Amino acid sequence: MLPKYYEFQNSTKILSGQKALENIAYELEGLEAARPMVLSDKVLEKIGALQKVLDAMLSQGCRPAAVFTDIPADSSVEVVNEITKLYKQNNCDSLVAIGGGSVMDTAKGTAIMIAHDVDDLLKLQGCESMTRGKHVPFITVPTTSGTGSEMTMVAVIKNEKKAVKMEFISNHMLPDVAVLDPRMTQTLPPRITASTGFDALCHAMEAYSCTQKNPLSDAYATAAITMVREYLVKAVTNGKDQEARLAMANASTMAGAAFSNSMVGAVHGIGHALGGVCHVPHGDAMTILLPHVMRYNLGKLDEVYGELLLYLAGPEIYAATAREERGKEAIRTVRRLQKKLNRICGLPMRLRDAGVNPEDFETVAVTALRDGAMLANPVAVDKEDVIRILKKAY
Amino acid sequence: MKPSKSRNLATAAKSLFASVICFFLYRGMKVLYKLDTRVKEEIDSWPVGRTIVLSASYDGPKLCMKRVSWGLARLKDVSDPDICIAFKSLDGAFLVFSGQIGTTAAYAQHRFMVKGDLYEVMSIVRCIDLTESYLFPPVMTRRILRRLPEKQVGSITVYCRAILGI
Repeated sequence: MLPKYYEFQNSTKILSGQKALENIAYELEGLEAARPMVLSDKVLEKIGALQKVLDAMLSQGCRPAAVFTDIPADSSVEVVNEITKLYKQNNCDSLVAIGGGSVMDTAKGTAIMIAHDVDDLLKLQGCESMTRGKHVPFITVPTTSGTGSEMTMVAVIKNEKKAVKMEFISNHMLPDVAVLDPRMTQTLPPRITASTGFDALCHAMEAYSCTQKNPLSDAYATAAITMVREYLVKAVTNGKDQEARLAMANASTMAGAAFSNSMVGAVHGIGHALGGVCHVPHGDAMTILLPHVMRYNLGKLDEVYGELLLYLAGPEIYAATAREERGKEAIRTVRRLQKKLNRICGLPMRLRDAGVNPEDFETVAVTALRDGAMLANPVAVDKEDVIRILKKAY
Repeated sequence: MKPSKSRNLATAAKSLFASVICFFLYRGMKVLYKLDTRVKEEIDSWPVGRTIVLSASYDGPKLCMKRVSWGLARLKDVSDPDICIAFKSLDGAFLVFSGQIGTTAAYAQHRFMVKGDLYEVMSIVRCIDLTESYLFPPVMTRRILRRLPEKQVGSITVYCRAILGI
């Protein structure tokens, strides 16, 4: 159904496939940038993923003006401030972010600080309140297939002093270019491939079912789910399968474009809280929570989940399933995928497997209710509801 | 170039309506701080001194509030509020203030922008939803709220106390 009003933006150019990295230099030139600052993390530096990108850039005559790899797993204000200072000191004119969600969010924070020439990131906190500012050419190279951050207008950055996560939402944070090269995810271990892949599935599922859904986000979401169905298990079982790796990178990117324009719901709201309070890795939290939140939402979303069965299970199963059973079958399909990945690589199925202590449920519930994603869940969720979902997932 | 007369008239009417709603919203929250435990819990979670502005449009009517130790106080104006929820247009605000859509739908439709800590905004939104459940008739709240909260006091009591300012 067409919403009464919706907005959709995705201006990011996608470079996907073989030797995509080698075109970064060309893209930077097109963006009139000659002194890029490269951002990455220590792990990617150690395993040689960063070097692959640097080689690709240098071989095309593009020399970075600065390289920063000290980005922690949780992006923070202090790091963003430090990078911004270095960017100015080295007279850089663009950003190339190589990494997962944390590196890309750090780069987004840096980009908006430079664009608005502010000394404190806190001044830019908010949702759709930012103006464009000065254009900072910005290229991302995702190294996991899950966050979709290369296509989203959201950045979550930790304020260490206040011990809170700050959220920034603005279409002006969208990167100019996202580079999907199968070489970047080839060495991801099966367990992380599965966990991040489930995150991408979750983005697409929630994008298709949340309150901001629209025909364009639906198109991206369903295409992403189809790719996850076809390729996630292949990518987990054979990491060297370039087609599967690239397909998962595309699925993640499409899911990112979908949820950036339609938001995510209670799975993410509760999952973020589980990450903050119990330190459950994001993808694991998504894997565990998705079927339980789907069950919680089923009363209102039966038809929507029924539609998703086509993409989750394929046309044969969809056609063979009675209309009134499709919603429930969609949940069972997610559960089957979860079990399969659990058998293959030990992806956790329950919160107890992820080391969560039930004594933390109360704190998780209170934290979850402060998350903006809860506002986009089609069914209202209160503290008791969150605790009930957590108990079922335990 | 100027807008047509009919458009000007409609804008003036919507602006007046938004001012009335801002008045009742503030008074409603203030009354419910004393009468509804959930509203009290939400407001108590805001740090004392926190300034909040709810603006119907860029230069339209606005509700400026400050969290004080005894609840909420209305201010004439706040130049640099801690939290600012501003509708992108008066017409977008009118959709919410006239009960045609709820805050959830307004968020889904990108009708407003927010400056400040988004985690705190969630609590403000819950507070507005609870207040709306008392101020708007059930036929409206059933449509705009995802779930009807149980009333801890009658709507007439809230209205009377809001009008009398007690």
